[in-house]
Amino acid sequence: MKTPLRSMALSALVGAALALYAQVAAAPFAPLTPAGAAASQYVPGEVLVKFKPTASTQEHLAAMAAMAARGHSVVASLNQPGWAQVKVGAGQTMETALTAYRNDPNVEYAQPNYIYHATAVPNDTQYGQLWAFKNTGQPINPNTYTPNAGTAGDDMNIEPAWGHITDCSDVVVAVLDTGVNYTHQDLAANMWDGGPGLPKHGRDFVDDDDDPMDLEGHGTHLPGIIGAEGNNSTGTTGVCQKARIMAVRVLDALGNVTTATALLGIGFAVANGAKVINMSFVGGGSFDPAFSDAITSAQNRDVVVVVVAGNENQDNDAAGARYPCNFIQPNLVCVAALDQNYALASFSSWGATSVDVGAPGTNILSTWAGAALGNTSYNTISGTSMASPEVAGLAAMLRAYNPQYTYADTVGAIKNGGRSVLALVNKTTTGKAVDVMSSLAYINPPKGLAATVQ
Amino acid sequence: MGSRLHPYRLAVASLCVAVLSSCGGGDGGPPPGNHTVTLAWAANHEKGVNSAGGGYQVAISGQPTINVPFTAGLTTPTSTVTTLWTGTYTVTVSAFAALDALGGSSGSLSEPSQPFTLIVP
Repeated sequence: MKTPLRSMALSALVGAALALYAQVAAAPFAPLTPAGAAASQYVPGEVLVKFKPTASTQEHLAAMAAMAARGHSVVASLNQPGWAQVKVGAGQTMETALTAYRNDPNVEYAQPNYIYHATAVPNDTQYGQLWAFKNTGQPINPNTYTPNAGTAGDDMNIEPAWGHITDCSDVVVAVLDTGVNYTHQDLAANMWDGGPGLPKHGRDFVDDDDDPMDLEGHGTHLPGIIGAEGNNSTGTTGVCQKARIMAVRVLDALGNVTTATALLGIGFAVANGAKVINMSFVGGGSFDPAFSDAITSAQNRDVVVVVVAGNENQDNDAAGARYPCNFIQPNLVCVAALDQNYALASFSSWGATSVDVGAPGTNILSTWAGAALGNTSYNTISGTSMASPEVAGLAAMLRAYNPQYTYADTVGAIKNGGRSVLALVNKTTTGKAVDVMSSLAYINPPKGLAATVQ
Repeated sequence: MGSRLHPYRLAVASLCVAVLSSCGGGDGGPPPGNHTVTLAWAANHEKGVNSAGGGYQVAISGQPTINVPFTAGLTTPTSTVTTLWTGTYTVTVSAFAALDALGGSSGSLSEPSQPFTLIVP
């Protein structure tokens, strides 16, 4: 007996679909959550559908008929029980199709067909020395801190995050320090564009001019950690491989800054659109209300401010407050330094109520020196000054990945997304070291829940 | 007492009790029954919550969890309507996204919002 082609096709389709229903895969994190998925991109016009394994044959047929009625077609069975790759009908969006399938009683899950990216290891020639990004236990040479070899895995867990974002250039990061060598080979492409009025990427409040060139080195080291150009086959990479660094020179040749100059620098950064400020300097003594007001002003403009715990190896809570670390504004993140084994660095200060997180701060290789000393210099140094820009870079990445993020969202993701580290327990407010991937995946708890009853 | 439904606006802050005022003319409020309840919250700012694979879960004590997924557009809906019988309920909302802490696909779920107690008359 002949079998009509149409019936054969339907039988084949149903057979394939039935084969998909045979088993149940493990559920994602919550039964009612749409099928877990990853990555930020997906194949347009396609969805992945998992049919319920408990449905009857009649229900399977009904599901297939509904699929056909929508103009959809099965592309592949995926060799996974119950799952089918479905081509969405012409003129329909993936979102519409997802909604339809999620409302289909015969469908267990429906999700986009996500596109994953290879974990992005940049090709920068000295990447192997950046233990903060990838700690394999490698020795760092030359070095300025002992031990100079570490523990594999004690790092910022950044490589998975680079599979999702490397470009933070939508977020301006101001570095208030000794200036920046804005002509450095690993920084020039990532400097903030100040337009015709500020052609040298920032401002010098020490010499009161528009040239914030760094001739000392410290101020160039920090933006290299935040955003040295990555994957350019040259030198190092920053937390952000593409960035927008605003150079604000406030530290003089001796590395000192007054309250007045700091206020000028913060005001400049905020007024010119910086959303993250890094300040790798600290001072002791009395509460500084003018400086505190400037931090509050930055808060009011939705700016995250990242600062250092200090290199005095002291408890900032007990041995005397260190500012700006000990300011209490919620947009402030104060950072301690960890060594290559994730012990608190021997020089690093701490504070159970004032220091928030830890980050790598020993034997950190980064960009160096002013133009007069060349544009190809790098240096390995240690200090909480190096830990702070690791976090500033993370703040920029979080804000670039989540364009709607406020300072509160950003600080919440940094603090709550961190990794618990024994050396930081009772030494910081969180007991955590920053973890880039965890912070990127962190979701702040919803707020503002309200109800209307009728 | 009349049988018509009366709207009650509940302003809910962190950890509070939503208490409905009397519905009628001082006669003790409406009779027990089903009420339409609209729950709303502020939008999360994570990209993953407001894109495919993201959304919210609303937990009401003793009730099935309500799923509010992203469907289309720029943001995931931030409200849901349900029917609740007269009683006292604890309500929270959590947000979810596709990305997990390893950079993979198992998803992430936020901590729940501050709970509040909802009293349906």
